[in-house]
Amino acid sequence: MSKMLLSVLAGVATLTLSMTANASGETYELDPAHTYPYFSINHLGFSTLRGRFNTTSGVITMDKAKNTGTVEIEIDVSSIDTAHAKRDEHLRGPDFFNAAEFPKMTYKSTKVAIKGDNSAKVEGNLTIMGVTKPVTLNVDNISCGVHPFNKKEVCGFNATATIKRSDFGIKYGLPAIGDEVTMYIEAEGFKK
Amino acid sequence: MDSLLNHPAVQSGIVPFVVALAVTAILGKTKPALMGLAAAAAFVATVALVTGFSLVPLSSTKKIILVAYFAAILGMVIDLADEKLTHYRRYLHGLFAFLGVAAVLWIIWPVISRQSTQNSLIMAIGLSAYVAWMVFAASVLQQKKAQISAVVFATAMGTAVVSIVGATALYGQLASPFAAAAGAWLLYYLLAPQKAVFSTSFFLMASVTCASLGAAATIYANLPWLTLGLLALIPAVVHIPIKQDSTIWLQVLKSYVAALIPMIAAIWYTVQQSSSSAYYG
Repeated sequence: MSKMLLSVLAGVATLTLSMTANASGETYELDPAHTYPYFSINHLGFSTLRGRFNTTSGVITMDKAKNTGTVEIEIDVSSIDTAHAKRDEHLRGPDFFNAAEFPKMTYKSTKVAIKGDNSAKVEGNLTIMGVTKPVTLNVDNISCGVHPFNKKEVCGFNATATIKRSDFGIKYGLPAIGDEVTMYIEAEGFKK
Repeated sequence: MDSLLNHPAVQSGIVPFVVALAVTAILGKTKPALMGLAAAAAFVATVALVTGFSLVPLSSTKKIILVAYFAAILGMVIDLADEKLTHYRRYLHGLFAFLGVAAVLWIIWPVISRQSTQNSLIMAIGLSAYVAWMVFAASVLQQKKAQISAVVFATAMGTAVVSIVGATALYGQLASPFAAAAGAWLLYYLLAPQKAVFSTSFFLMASVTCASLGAAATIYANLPWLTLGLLALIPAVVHIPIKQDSTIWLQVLKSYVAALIPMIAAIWYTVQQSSSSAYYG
């Protein structure tokens, strides 16, 4: 009788643990070789300047049963790249990102709502230069599958958001250099 | 009007000059001992136009602005207590230098705290020595009006130009108002030499702030170290003997020519070191 009871208890415990693991979602580590945050900003009213950050890391979880998850992204500010060395040096300096003092930019989600059409709305906090502001990412093109070469499970998505750089204390050149910055994040992550 | 006030030359040159001239003229007639507040007024006017008064986030730039405010207040207190401090004057030079060192270490701490011990020490000692020297050397010249104004003008103008050329326009804009204020003071001095006083608040605020901007520019914006070395020659060269009983114009001419030589050398060197590719922001 006691052996039967112990077996039942063990089975319930195992089932509970496996349900808990599935309920917290699947974890994907961002692939730095296929994850790039881009940005665009108006330059003196003449054109749109685009740039990107070359070094990004992060973790995403997806709970497909509950259509929710989490997003944590960390960007190396000094990896900024606008295809012009002098401008990149300026952007890393005190006039803009002050990368030496604030080497990282982070985004952490507070709420993720995955919709049925492979899109999602991610609410979270973006921190630039020590200032944290709420920013919503509009995510689309969520696509998951098996990588054809390494056979790992992979998920990818595109995300956009618009911020005002002055909200984060980056005020140099206003209003000639635009205040509104559009961010694009194209990301892929491998399942851990 | 908005586009005019957004122009860097207006923000950091014309507006602070006009403000400083007005404050100098008013205090020259009412309280000459506080004429240094012209520098404070000029700086505050530029801060209002360039960065705003918010101290969030407390970045290195905002720390420098706070240091400037503190130096102005300390200088004003010393100016008001002038006669009572006669016996302690010689100690004030060292005190100012020490405060300058404390300020620059606070400003650059976020970077040096992440370096190896050896690199941290080199940065801390080198930049502390620069700031201490600039503040001390200006302080001992306070009673020689032509020379101290030349030191302040050349240090501020030199820091402004090398920052803009080689490192960071923002730091350059924060140094410029001191050059503008020194120019305004010089104009008043040439017209009313007996009334003009180069207050402690003026040189203390200017020397600490400009030295801190130069030091921070090497850390946060890759300004060449040798540029600071050349700027450090300004107060050294201006210590040349100048007869205080010679005409005001001659004292000013000798002082400013002496000060501008290392300033121009610093600017020239920084231009040579900056990238050859054209970039206008």
